[in-house]
Amino acid sequence: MNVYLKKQNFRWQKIMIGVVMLFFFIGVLNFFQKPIRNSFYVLISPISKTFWRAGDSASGFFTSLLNAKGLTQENSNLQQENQRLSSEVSALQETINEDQAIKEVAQNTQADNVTLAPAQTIGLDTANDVMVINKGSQDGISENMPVISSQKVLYGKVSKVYKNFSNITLISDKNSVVDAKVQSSDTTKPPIFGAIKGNGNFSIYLDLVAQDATINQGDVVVTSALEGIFPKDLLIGKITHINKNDSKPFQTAAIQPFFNVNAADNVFIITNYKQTK
Amino acid sequence: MWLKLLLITLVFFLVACVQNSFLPHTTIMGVAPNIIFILFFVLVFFEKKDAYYRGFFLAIIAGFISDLFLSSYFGASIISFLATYLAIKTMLYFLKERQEKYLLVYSIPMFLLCLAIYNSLLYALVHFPYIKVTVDKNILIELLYNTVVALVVFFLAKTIYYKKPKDRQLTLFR
Repeated sequence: MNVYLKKQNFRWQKIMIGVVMLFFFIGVLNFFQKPIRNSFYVLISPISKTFWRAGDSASGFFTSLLNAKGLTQENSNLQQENQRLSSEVSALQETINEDQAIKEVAQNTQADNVTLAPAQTIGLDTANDVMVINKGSQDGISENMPVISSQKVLYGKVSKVYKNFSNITLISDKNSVVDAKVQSSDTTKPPIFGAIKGNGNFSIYLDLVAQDATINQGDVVVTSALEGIFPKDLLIGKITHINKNDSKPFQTAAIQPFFNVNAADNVFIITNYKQTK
Repeated sequence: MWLKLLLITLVFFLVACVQNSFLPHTTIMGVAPNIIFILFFVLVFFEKKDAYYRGFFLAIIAGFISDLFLSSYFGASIISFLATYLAIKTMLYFLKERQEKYLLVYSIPMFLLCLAIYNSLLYALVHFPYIKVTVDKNILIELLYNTVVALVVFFLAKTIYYKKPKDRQLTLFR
């Protein structure tokens, strides 16, 4: 065998050893995945919180700077919306009075049944729509628990739990599907059911709505609790655009989600809701 | 040598923290620039042609730190970065000579191609077997946003790497 071939063989041996070592390294990392990630999050938690706050302030500053021109227009729009809402409130007042007793009982029961664990956001994986919060298994968090904001806006569910931290998969994740219903402005009509699917990049859309169902722009979409993971009536978003095509079995709609990851410093995990998945 | 590698690791670590905690507040339509990838690409692009070991080290470190922040299993980012590293090296191999003057002209298309390879591979590895192929405006925004940030980093790196050595010769006539 000449020197050139020997050199070639030796190079291949080195490559093979390198590949084996790499896969061994990856295997070890996956075997000790939870303690490694938990220790890492403990280590970076103070740095991440500092960066998160800095980002929040910077984002607020730039947003106010960019929106300075549109403030007058926004104010006028809000005044108009306020007037519209006031008239709607007075119209609904009568109905509310009738149902108040029943609703109070239902609300109280619901309030008693839901236990919330507050958590702080310390990181966000924008590529995969995953949030990292500072509560984990030692705080009683487990997988598939729903995550909401203080305004009952649905964010997603706990997808991975470490000792001190958890990952939250947002409803905008491309593989996320949440059973939902459209709350029509006309309360006499039965609710319209559909499914909220993730588009990635914090955007969602409504799918599987029957062709004969009437949905309108501005209708609010809430959870229907059919899939058994999320409690009913958690806020999801507002319909912005309807795509109705007779050649397709279902109609879809673009949704403006109510959740805002930039303002998600504090979130709440529902710890005692039934979990079927 | 070791000190330099340690320093690079620390820089990647800090960049990853910024990526996951600061940059989510600067998104455009839900898209944030991938500064870990940009830093990796720039370091590989400007390294010496025969510095293979350093390149592999960069790929493994960048991949490992990215994996720490991912919700998926370990290895997806490491493999994606290694594959991207090989792609960059292959492209650089075909570039006979690196010309300082037109550096940005050919580095940006290379960057875009490598970003597309990296993103596709990472997505496929993380979401396998539930892979959905969708082409929408967000992909364009992602490429544009990353290119703008990469241009700034490229410019900075170019001034650092191609810094002319100080001429210590006495100049009598100009």
